[in-house]
Amino acid sequence: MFPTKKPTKKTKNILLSALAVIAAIAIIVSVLIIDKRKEEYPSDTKNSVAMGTIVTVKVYGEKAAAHTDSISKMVTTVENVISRKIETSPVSTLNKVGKTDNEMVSALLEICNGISKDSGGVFDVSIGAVSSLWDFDSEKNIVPEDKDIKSALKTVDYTKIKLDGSSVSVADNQQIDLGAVGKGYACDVIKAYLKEAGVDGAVVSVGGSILAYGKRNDNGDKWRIAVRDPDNESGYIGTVLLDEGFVSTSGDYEKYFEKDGKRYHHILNAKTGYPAESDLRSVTVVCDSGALSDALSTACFILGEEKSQSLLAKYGASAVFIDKDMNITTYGDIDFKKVQ
Amino acid sequence: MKKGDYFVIAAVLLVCPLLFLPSFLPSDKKTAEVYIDGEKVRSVSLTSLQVEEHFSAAGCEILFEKDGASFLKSDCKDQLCVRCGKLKNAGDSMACVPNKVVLTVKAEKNDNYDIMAY
Repeated sequence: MFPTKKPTKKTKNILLSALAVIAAIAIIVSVLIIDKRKEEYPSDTKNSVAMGTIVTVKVYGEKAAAHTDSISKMVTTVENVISRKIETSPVSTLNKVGKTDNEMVSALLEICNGISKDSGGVFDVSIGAVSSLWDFDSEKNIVPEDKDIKSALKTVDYTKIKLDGSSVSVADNQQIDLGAVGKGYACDVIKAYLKEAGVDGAVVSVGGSILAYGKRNDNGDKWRIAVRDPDNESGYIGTVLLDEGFVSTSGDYEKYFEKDGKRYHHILNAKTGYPAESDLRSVTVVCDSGALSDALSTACFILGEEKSQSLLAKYGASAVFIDKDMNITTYGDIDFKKVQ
Repeated sequence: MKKGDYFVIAAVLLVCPLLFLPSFLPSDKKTAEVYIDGEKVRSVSLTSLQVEEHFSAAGCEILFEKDGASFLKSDCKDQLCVRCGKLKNAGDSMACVPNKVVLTVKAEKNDNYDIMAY
């Protein structure tokens, strides 16, 4: 029931004035909340093409737009050094004349040689001659002759890559292919830039190799990195939650062709020269280095889940494995949430 | 105070929270964006598209339709972008690498993840 006592005119005016003030404050607060939500954490997103793939950069914080430009260009800079398809790159020089002098190439090869040794040689960036035979980028979809693969395999041997400071030399006819680590390494370079530039937070994808850097928002929420569903290009099977780090996935779905009912994917076992035949559809590796996460995801895909574990342990990395029956398992200290 | 005054108070208290309710609700609106050499050159709201739209630049012709966007033509050698077909889902992206053109479909709001590893 409402009160029945009739208020005086003065009381009524006071109440109506108070009501008007409350309404005005409520409306102003509401508008401020909306504006605050919109500008809570400014961001800028940029999509570009580099390393033969899509580079997505999303930077949060003040002056975000200035950084997305710099980062996109940085990936091209790395590509110009490590791509064997760019005639003038130091890696092309290395493949042509057997030696080069470049700090970036040397540093990257040192990382790769470590993974080669620890994976028993199934991962080996001196696989260039074999990669050229398969030529997955060309879409020719031709299975090379076995004798050609065996011949090319003779040039594959990481122990013949010699490093001396920034100087690098390889054996005769040895061809270096940094395709398995280049995108992750670009993420390493980007992280160094973000740190130097004092960027608040950023998430970067270089062809699916991910860098999650800094804070995602002011609430302290973790970054959410979706892991692709091998059977659905735009679907995902779960999310990896992390404060910061690098995430790389190797899967049999990215570059492949089918011939006579068999799927030939682009992840080559450096010991056989053929696409790896493990029981996996994909491996997603999380660790504190982009080049390492890239190299490890390739090596683990070739090794299979069981043999990968000691390798992951050695590098303090964790992983999500999806096998051919779409069973999902994890290894190490990883916060992974499956899609329900 | 009259009954009407209480109704006014109740109305003000109800309306104010409703002002920012939409910003909390999920949205299935999709936008297709075209980037050339890293610059966004076209953005089309697919959800509100009434008739198909064509956009040509950098050797590519892109078709926007209500249910997706696609590379209709390209003067590139490999034609991978054209053969990819229609991008329908939020998160789908395709590039014409030789022409440095990226076509991407995004949801106006994506509350599920920040980026996808693949």
